[in-house]
Order: sequence, then C-alpha cells, then structure tokens
Amino acid sequence: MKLREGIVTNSIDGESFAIATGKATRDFNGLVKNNPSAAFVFELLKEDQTVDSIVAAMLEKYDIDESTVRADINELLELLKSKNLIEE
Amino acid sequence: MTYSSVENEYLIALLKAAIKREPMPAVSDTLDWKHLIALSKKQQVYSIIASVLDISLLPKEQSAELTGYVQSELLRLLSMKNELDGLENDLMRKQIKFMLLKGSVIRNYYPQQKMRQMSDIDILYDSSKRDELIKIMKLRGFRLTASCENSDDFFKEPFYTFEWHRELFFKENKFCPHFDLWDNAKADEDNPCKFYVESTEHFVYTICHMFKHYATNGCGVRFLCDIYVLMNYGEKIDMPRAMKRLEKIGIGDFADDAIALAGAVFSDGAITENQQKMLDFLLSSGVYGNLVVDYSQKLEALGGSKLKYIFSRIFPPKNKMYADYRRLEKRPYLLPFYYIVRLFTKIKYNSALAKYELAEIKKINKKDN
Repeated sequence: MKLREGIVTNSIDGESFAIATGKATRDFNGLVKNNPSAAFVFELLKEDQTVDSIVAAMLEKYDIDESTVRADINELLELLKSKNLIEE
Repeated sequence: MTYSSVENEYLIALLKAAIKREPMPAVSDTLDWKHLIALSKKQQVYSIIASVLDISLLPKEQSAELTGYVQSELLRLLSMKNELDGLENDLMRKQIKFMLLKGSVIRNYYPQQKMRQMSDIDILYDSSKRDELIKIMKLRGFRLTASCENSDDFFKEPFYTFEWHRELFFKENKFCPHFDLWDNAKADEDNPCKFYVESTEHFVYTICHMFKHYATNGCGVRFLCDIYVLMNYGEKIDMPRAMKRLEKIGIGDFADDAIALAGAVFSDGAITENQQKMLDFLLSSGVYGNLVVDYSQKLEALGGSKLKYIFSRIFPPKNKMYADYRRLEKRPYLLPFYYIVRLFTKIKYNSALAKYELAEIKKINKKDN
C-alpha cells in the first residue's frame, strides 16, 4: 500500500500535515495534522509498504514494543483507508 | 489612541498580543463577537487573532466560524506552498530568475508563518522569459486570468492564485517609484535562479505598496503588523537609508506616520492627530480598501459622468490596453480586436464583479444628485 497519487506532505511552523492536491481533492479536501510518528509513517507511505515493513521501520526508529506499534499502525492505516488517503 | 468601537479596540489589542506573544487581553462585557470576527475577516487577520484567542470563550457560532476560516486558510497555505515548491523546480530547470515578494517574504518573520494570510503569491521574475513562464504555468494547469499593467495573473482551481510581476509598479500610474530589487538580491544556495530581496529595499517597497493602496481605495491594519514585524523580527533594516529613499520617492511624511503608528499600536504609545486619522481609516477599510472608494475616485476624475465612466471601463485608454495585451506593441492594428477580446473575457470571468460595480456606481450617482 502507498499514499494515493496527489496526497502530499508539507510542514509549517514545525508542524507536519498531509493534504490532497489535483484529482485527489475530489475524495479528500481536508488536512491531516500529523504528530512526529504519524509524519514518519506518511513519509514511509510515499513508497509501497506492507504493515510488516512499517512496523519494522517504526521498531528501528522508536523504542517501543511490537504489539503496541502493530496495533497503532493498524488503527492508523484503517483511518487513512477510510479517508481515501492510501491505496492498496 | 481612540477607537470608534469596542471591537476595533479589541482587534488591535489581539493583534498586539498575538504578534508580541503576550497572553490574551481581557474581554469587555460589551464586545460583540460576531462583529469582531467579521472585522478580522475584512482585515484578513483572523489567523493572527486565532493564535491568541481562547476559542472556548466565543459563542458557538463564532467559534465554529473562526475555526473554519483558520483551517481553510491553513489548507490553502499548505497547498500553495506545495505548488510553489514544484514551480521553483520548474523555474530552475528553465533558468528563469525569480524572487518572492510581499506576504511570502513577510510571513517568515511572524511568530508563526501561518499567522500571515495571503490571498495570492506574488513573484517578481525575469520578464524576458515570459513566454516560457506562461508555458510552465499552463502545463501545471493554470489559466492566465489577467495580463495586468505590470503583472500576469494565473489561477487554478480551487484556490491557487499566482501573480507574476514584470515590474513592481505600473509606469503609466502617477505613483511609480523606481525599484531594482535584483540589485543586492542574494541567490539561494540550492536554487541559483531563486533570489532573496535585500531587507532595506524590501522595507521601502512594503511602505510604497501600502501607500499605493492607501492613496487609492484604502488599505487595512495588516500593513501595520507587517511594518512592525519587519522592523522588529526581520533582517536588519538600514533605517536612515530607507527613510532617505522614501523621502526621495515623495512619501517621507506618509512613511513617518505609518512607521510611528505601527510602533505606537504595538507598544501602547502616543500618536499624533494625523496618525489617529490614519488608524481610523485603516480600521474602516478592508485589507486592500474598499472598491466603492476606488469607483468613486475614478468617477470623480471623469467629472462625475456615469456614461463616461462606463465607456472608460469598457474601452480603457490605449496605454492600458498596450500594458494588458503586450502583443499590441508589435501589432497596434489589432487594438479594436483586443477591445472585443477584453469585453468577452470580462463577461465570461468577471460578470459578477461588473454587475456589482454598476450597481455601486448607480448608488454613488443617486447620492451625489
């Protein structure tokens, strides 16, 4: 899975956001404010990823246990799918 | 310093607190929140006041209204920033020199960039590459909405507006100070086509820009915020040099008042009678003034004749047509054709504004008669 075409990230005043551009605005016209770990996931999703690859990257970057990170990632990905921000 | 309403006074207090990172000022019992939010919208400063306001104190309707404005503005700002990033790469590839102007420069010095609203992005560029620029913009999905006297304006749905300036002021206008911002401009380390305007010249330009609007259809209090921010948080300005330039341009007194007023507003200082008048005028205008004032002034210049006014709006003077349609410089015989092109373009894209203008002109005549 990866970010849909037209979903881009940008930052202002030290805060990270994801927005839709071009045709992607037909399905999503809001903005997503990301905390640092969500911003990291968005960066990963610019390339094709699996849940396992995201979890592995998170475990490498953050000092957290695998079950917690897997649960958080699944929750985040469900949310992103429901908002049409990622595609399989 | 006196104010004609509680809302005007509170707006200024909020701007001061937001820009100086002070706590939210106490709220008067008689404050009308609806009026305050409308005022902040008219002055395009709602993103500034939202940074200091405790939203929970606002009535539900105004809280939702302000939150909506601020979030829409943030979305627009991020989208425009993203578009600009892509454009900067295109410009570098095509070797077109450019320099960001106005809000895109000034917002870097606000306590938070998102506080400074911008209706468009203004860019000065090497106009010898105009044809290439138009190609780039069209490839990115933009439509050339107007070739104005000194700029080409592009628009892309839903809200992307870019003004590409060939010159800073229109040479046929009465007020046309000479600037060469390329002198002393610094090139970006990563993009050799991107230049940064020199701080003192930019400050002089900001005051001139304010004067241009102030002297025609008016302008708002955001200019005072910009002046204060540039003088206090921006790069060092050589004030003696700036004032010398402004005097030479012929707006030394105006600059003295605007700078003193900006200082007084943000430090509760005393002001003169002239500065009080300026503050009252800025608070009564929108961010770029009031179109009706502009219409009235144009009408007055034509001796008050409504017929002459309408004729001049449909068939503007030749010099304006030459400025708007640069092809006429080489092919002057096409002038009648371009009057027709202009008419149809305005009907297609600006009919609502034209109807509004006609209605307002009608009212002005009625009032005068």
